[in-house]
Amino acid sequence: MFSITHEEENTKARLGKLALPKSSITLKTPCFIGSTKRGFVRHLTPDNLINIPDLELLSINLPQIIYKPGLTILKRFNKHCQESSETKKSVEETKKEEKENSNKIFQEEKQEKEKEKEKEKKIEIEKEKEIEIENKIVTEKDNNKQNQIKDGLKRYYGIGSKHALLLKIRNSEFADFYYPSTDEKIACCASEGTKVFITPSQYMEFASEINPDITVSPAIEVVGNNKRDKIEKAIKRSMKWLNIAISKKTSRTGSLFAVIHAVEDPKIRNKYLDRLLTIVKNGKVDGFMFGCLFLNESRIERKKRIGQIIESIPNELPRGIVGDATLSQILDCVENGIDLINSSFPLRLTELNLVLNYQNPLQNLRSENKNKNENENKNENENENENENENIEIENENKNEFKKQFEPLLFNLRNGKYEDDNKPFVVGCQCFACKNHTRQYVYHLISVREMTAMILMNLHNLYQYSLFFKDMRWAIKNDKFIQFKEAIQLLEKSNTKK
Amino acid sequence: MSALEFEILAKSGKARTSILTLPHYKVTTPIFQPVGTCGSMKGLTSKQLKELDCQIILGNTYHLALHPGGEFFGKCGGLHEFMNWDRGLLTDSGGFQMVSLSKLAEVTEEGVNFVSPKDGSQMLLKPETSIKIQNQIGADIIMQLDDVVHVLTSGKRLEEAMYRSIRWLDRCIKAHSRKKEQNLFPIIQGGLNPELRKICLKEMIKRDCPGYAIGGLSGGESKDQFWKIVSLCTDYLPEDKPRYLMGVGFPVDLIVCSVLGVDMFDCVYPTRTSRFGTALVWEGTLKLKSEKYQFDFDPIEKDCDCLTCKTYTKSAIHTLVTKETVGCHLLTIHNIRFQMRLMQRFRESIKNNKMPEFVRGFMKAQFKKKGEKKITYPTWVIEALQSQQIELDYENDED
Repeated sequence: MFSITHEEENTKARLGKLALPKSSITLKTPCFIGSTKRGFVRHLTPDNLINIPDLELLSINLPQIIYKPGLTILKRFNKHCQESSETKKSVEETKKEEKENSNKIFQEEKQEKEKEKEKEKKIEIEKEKEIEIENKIVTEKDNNKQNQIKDGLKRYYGIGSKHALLLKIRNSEFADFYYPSTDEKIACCASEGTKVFITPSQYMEFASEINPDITVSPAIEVVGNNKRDKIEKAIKRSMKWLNIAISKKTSRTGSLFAVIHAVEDPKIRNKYLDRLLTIVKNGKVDGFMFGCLFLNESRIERKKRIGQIIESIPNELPRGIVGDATLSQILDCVENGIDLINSSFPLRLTELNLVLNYQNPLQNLRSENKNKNENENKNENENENENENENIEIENENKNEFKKQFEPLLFNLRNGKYEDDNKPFVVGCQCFACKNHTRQYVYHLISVREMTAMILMNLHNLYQYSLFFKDMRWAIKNDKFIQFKEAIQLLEKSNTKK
Repeated sequence: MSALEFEILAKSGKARTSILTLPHYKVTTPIFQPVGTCGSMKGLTSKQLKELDCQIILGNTYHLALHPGGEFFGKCGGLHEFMNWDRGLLTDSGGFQMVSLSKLAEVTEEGVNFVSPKDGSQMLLKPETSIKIQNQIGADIIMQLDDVVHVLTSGKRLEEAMYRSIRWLDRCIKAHSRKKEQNLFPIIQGGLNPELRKICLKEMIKRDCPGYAIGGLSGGESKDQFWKIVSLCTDYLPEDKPRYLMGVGFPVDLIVCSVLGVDMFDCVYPTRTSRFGTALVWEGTLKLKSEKYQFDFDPIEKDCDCLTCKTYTKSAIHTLVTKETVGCHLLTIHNIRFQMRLMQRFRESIKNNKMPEFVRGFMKAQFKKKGEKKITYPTWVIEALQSQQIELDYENDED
């Protein structure tokens, strides 16, 4: 499922490939998980979403869909999908019967044969299920069969065959404090504003109806300075829920990720980490999610905690993190070995009318490397670099002036100086919004409070964010991660000067 | 002098289907024009509008003059470039908004004296200024500034408004500076008084404009009077020029007025109801907010080819509508596509000489109810269609 292709020389960052056979997608890590509301990236309909190339994994938070659509609607929908594919077969069979002789003997013989076939099919299906759960290797033939989206939340919400789903259950930081859970039940704040209790086995039932690629086990992420008793209680509870989740894991619930509680006190942390690792040795857990971070701790503290935990967990499992992170904070995490990052940074920018101007700070380094590659004629890098070089060439032509100085990373499109500016958001950007529309148009839409402004800005910000991740992967591959990090820190400082 | 060409392809009674060649695009009529007030349809990009087969859309001069302003368009090259829309555009004069949105609007011979609700500042909108702004915006069709009165007024005020509109039309024609690129349409006034309408028609036809608009309707009058005035206007207006009925957009009204000979329509109805959760279908409307659509796993319309009907079920839209912006975008896509397809099928029925059957089938689907043996139609629909020799079907044969 997860294989490491390259490990960076100077840091613990690594390049990897995560296979998601249900959607026949292989993710190149480090990559970002797009955050959604009810399964939709905000403001974007599916035909707009296809315009963002590198967004392949989307996350859904269960409290948003716990009422609408809810379990009953999803169950009935899945039944409806199954029946509609079965009725087609039964219609064909009845036609065949009418055409053939209506002799009773023939009919009886056929009925007996069909019963035998059904029995054999059932035995085969049971065997296949067992094989699926035991084996983790999936062949190419299986990929083609599972390519069609038959049922589940993907078909219900038209998410399409180019995106994979990750299901999690996570309230906001302080909701855990005000709405406490019990040992048997998890407390959720539904987005309609009410409190709902759900048991871990009900959560896995939901997961099997939704049919995601990855499920994150339910856990409580404690807030900062609680007493030792409370913290231990919360972590024990999460372990219990993890065990229940493992017992209910099926092929329909997808791979299971466990939550690591990165709390402040290293003794508590290590005690429960050891217990977690014994569970992981059974092979039922497919990855980790780091919890209790990005909750007002300092940056140094966060790096320390991640660094210490990474040393003890197995290397071959993927790791993810959830939180509102700026660009350099993400690099802190990736430096220590994190592969998947789930943050809603681009969405926050659009809601504040800010446009992201990520300017490929590694242009110079990349052009040097390009010359080296041409001289040495490495076949491996050529295919990848061709696609990336097109971006660089266009951007180099248009941005020769800005090589020495950085423009501000973020700019606010509500500012009146953009009234006369008929350039695209960012000169040289290849996103849908920059190819078709100008700054003055979107300035006008923002002042008149039209919805189309949000759509265009969100498209642009997500596109630029995915360019940042592409550059990160390039830097890891060519062992230049530390230079990349310094360049990003300079970029972020440029915003404060002007 | 006109900047358009109008070629009739087929006729069926008073109804006709034709090609209207504008400076930016070739439009087939009868056509429905969705309204994008401030330079964009709410929630849709220009590319999505093209996929829905929109050929000509509306912009409101009042809102565009407030922001970004007429001079801005003069500099930047017009609304087409600003929005990145290369098909047809139509702008109205701004008169209707000023009267409907303001508390104090005084109409004098010079123009409309208007108090802005935001600042409290005074503004005078003369026919010359309205035409100047519309010239700068650069749409294919522009409208005259008319003296707009409520449709139920009668007596001296109505007569005064009608005569004033004619005088203002002359001033608009004089001020119009881009006659080769933009078409100025007059607006026939006269309320619900047939005599005044005839006088207005006679005078405005004398000015020999590229096309004509019928105004002063769709504001709360009874439908019986409404269809009679429309029919009267289409009797007198010249056959070889397009006719535009302003503010009409319910599907039943569209079909009845197309039968009576109208070519162009515009309305905010489909885009506005989608934001409240109503979907338009062949059988009427569906209020997708209600709980009875929870377990309904069919698409909104089975033979519709829009994005929403191909991928989503009614149950999915029910969970999204009024809660997420994406829900309202998806419904807007469907509603606009429905209106476009309706008009397309009407056009084809005229070409295939089957217009009466099409209208009969459509009206039956819209007005039939379960459990009733006979279908009851509103009287105005029956009379309007009978005037064109179309008889409706009263038997409700349920499947």
